[in-house]
Amino acid sequence: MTPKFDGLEFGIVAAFFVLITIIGFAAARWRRGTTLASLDEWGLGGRRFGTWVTWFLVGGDLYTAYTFVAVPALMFGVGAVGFFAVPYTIVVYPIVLFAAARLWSVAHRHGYATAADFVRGRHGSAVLGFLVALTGVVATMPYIALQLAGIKAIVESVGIGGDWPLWVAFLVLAAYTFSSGLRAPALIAFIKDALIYIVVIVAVIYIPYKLGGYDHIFHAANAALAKKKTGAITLKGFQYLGYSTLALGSALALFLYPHAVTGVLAAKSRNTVRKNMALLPAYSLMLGFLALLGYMALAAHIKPIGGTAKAPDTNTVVPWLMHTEFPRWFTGVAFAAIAIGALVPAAIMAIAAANTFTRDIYRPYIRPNASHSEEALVGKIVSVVVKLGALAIIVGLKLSFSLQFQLIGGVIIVEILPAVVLGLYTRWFHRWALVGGWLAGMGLSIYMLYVTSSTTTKHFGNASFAFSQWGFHTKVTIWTGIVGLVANLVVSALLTLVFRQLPRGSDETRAEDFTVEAPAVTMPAAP
Amino acid sequence: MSVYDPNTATTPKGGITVSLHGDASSPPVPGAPPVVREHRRRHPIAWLLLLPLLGTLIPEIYNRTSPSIGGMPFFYWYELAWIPVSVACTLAVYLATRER
Repeated sequence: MTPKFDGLEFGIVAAFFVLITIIGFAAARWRRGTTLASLDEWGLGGRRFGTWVTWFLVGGDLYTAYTFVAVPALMFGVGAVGFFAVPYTIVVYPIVLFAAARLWSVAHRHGYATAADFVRGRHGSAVLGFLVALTGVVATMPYIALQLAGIKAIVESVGIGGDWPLWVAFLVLAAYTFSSGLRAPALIAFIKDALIYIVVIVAVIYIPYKLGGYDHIFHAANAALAKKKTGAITLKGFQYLGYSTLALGSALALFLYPHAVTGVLAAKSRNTVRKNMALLPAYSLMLGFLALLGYMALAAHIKPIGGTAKAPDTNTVVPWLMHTEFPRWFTGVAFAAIAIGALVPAAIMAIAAANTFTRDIYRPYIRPNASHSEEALVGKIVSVVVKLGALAIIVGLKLSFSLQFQLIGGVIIVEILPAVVLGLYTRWFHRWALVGGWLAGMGLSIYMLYVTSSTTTKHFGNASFAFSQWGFHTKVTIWTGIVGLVANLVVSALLTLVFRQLPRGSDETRAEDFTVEAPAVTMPAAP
Repeated sequence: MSVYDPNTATTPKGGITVSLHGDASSPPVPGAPPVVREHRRRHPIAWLLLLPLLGTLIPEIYNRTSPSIGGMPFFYWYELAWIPVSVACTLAVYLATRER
C-alpha cells in the first residue's frame, strides 16, 4: 500500500536534492589538485582531507541511511537485540585505532589506494590481492543497493509509487560521482550530518514528549513485544553470546570494507586518522538514541506500510513514525536527511569499489601498463557500472534479497582480516596459507549461512547461526562470521607450518613504513 | 582478540617478518623522503583501550531494567554511558602516543 501523495513533503525533499546536486558538481573544484585524471585525485580526493573533513566523510560513510532505518526497525521487530549497534560502534574505535594508523602510513609510503594493494605488496601475492579485492567488491554491491532501498522507503512514504525516483537519484548520483570523485560525498557529508543531527535531536525530545515520556515508551514497547512474542526490552540468557559476537564481529568487519579504507586513506596525515578514531564515537551517541525510535514506533502503534502481510517491510516504521508525529514541513526535512544520508555512502562505496577493481583486478590482470589517466577513467566508468548493478538488485530482485546480501556482506568481509590486519603486524603467515585460510573460512561461513532459514526464506535467512543446527540442545546462537574467522585463522596458521619449505613472496614494505607520518607541509608565504 | 591487541602487536614475532627488506641499511624507496620516526614500544596507557570492550561485550553485567534513569532502563543508559567513557579512553591514548 502506498500512502497518499504529500506535496509539501515531496517539495522539501526535492529542494534538498537539487541543492546537493549542485554541490556535488561544484565539488570538482574544491581544493583541486592539478588534474582529476589520476586515481589518487579522483578516488582519494588527493589524500588531503584534514580532521574535520575526514570526520564528516568517515561518519557519513559508516553511519548510513540504512543504519538509521534498519537499526530502529530491528528494535521494533525483536527488542533489545537491536541495541547491539551501540556496543558495536563503541568497541570498533579502540580496536582499529592503531591498525588504521599503520595502514595509513604504509599506504602513504607506497601509494596504496586499497587494502588489496597493501596485501599484494606486503605478501608478494597477486592471488591473495585478487581475493581481497573480490571479497571487497562483492560485499560492497548489496550495501549500495541497500542505500537505494533507503531512498525507496522515503519515496514510498511521501506517497509516490514506481521506480522512477530511484532512476533519477541514480542518474544524478552517477553523474556527479563521475565528474567530482570523492570530493563530492566529502562536501555533501557536511549537509547530510547537519540535517541528521537536527532531526535526531528533535526526534528524541519531541516524540517522547508527545507520546508521554520515556517511561511510558519502554513500558508500551515491552508490552507490544510481549504480545508479538518476538522479544523483550532486555536479553534472554541464550541471547548473550549472539549479542556480543554480533557487536564484536560487526566491529571487526567495519573497517575492512573498501569504503571505510577509502575514508581512512583520504586523510592527509597519520595523526588525522588517529584523532578521528577518538572523535567518531560522537556518531554512536546519535545512533543509540535513533535506535530508540523503534520503541517509540511500538508505543505509537505504527504499522509498517511496505512489504507483505506475512513479511512486512519494517524499514518503513521510522519514516512512518516521523510522518505521523512531526509537523509536515519537518517530516520533509527528516526525509531529506535520510535520502541524502543514503546518497553520501552510496557515492563513497561506489568509488571504493571502483578503486579496488581498477587497482587490483584491471591493472594486475588486464592492463599492467595502464597510465594514471587511464586508471582514473576506468575507475569513473566502474563507479557507474557498480551503481547500475545496485539499481538492478533493487528494481529487479525483491528487497529482501538485498537484506540477505547485506547480512552475507559482513560475514564475508571479515574473512580478509588475517591477510590485511595480521599483515600490518607480521609476515609470519605464508601467502598460500592465507589463501587456504580464506577458502576454509569463506566456505564454512557460506555453508553456515546456507543452512540458516528465516520466516521468509529457507536459506541465507540470518547471520546468526543456531548451534541446534549441529545437534546441540540449546537456543544459543553466534554471529556466523566469528566462526568463519576462527576457522580462517586456524587453517592459516596450520598451513603456514606445512608450507615452510615453499618460497615466500617478496615484501616491498619495511618495518619503519608502518609508522611514518606525512612530511610537515610548509605553508607558502602570503602574497 | 589477540589479533588487535596493541600491546602485543608492536614487535613482530618470529623474526621472519622483515627479513627480506627490513635491513635498515637498504636504500629508501624513491620519492619524497617522509619523516621516519624511531620505532618505539607502545605506551602502557594503550591498555585503556580494553576497558570499553570489557564494559560492553559482556551482557551479563548490564542485562537488567533497574535502576532506571528518567524512565530509561539500566540496559540502555548503561550502554549509552559507555560512549563518553570510550571517547575518553581513546582520546587519552591518542594524546599520550601522538607524534609531534
